Amino acid sequence: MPIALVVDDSPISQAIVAKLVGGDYTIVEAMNGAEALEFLSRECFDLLLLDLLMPVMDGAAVLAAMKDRGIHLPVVVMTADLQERTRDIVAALGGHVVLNKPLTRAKLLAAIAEANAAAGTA
Amino acid sequence: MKDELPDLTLLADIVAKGLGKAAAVLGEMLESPVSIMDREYCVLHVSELPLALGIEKGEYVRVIEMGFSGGFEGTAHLVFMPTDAERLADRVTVGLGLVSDDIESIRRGTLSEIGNIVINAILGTMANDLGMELTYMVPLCLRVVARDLVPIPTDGKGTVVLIRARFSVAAIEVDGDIIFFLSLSSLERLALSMQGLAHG
Repeated sequence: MPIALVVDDSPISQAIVAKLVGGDYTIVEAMNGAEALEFLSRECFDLLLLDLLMPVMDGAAVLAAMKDRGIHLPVVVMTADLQERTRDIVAALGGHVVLNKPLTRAKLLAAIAEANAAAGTA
Repeated sequence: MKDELPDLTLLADIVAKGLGKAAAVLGEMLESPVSIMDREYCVLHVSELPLALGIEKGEYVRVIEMGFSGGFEGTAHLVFMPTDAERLADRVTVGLGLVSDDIESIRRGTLSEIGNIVINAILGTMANDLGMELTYMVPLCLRVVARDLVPIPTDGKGTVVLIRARFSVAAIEVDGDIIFFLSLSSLERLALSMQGLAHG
């Protein structure tokens, strides 16, 4: 089964993602950006599901660090932030898809497929 | 004494669109319709806020608080009576299989996430419509005495802009308030931006 790294400081959001796609991916959880980068430096993942607004290190900083380090994988940014400029920032940092919360299985699977296609891993 | 805002109609229209988006996302989370009512927009001295908010008594409330800055700045709050907050949190977590001895922690986390989504829906809609950019603080879920909601004014005159609406989820008997406090300087920037839209 492919492995997804889910980065979100909210245990509730983590639980919702696990419920929605836990049957399709083995889920590895990180609670903030710093923890996510630690995982990404040591392990290979098939998908990154990334929140933006987090303590310690936010999602935009994770994307910037991934860009610097040449880490490539499909990225779906899951955020409550509806601002158009947020989509621009995520795109500039290499995030493939921005998915606004609340999440549903249909929306998440569509976003994952889009991210896979954009990353060339479909 | 409340002073009516000079651009009340434009402000109300833009806030109403955000409130509509908030009702939609909250309804999606709860799989139940959400009603928005009793909208209020006014400029007040902070000493008038307890009466205006109906929080003169020292009762405890649950608050999800989120600060924001950028094109306009202030704090946003979702306010519930404790029992309503518990019903709301429990509705969202049902079926998630969360196992913990610390129900309070689960409820706090759930309410923070609900607040994050609902407040972002309002502010993000406003920011997009006005062509402004906002930066958000991480939301906090607090149990406070209601009168402690009153903000510390930043204009030196003790004046604050209050935007408030009541929302109701009849299916689970949950009522709450959405409250925004803005600085007067933010109102001026909003008014300029709205005038630009009106004449654009």
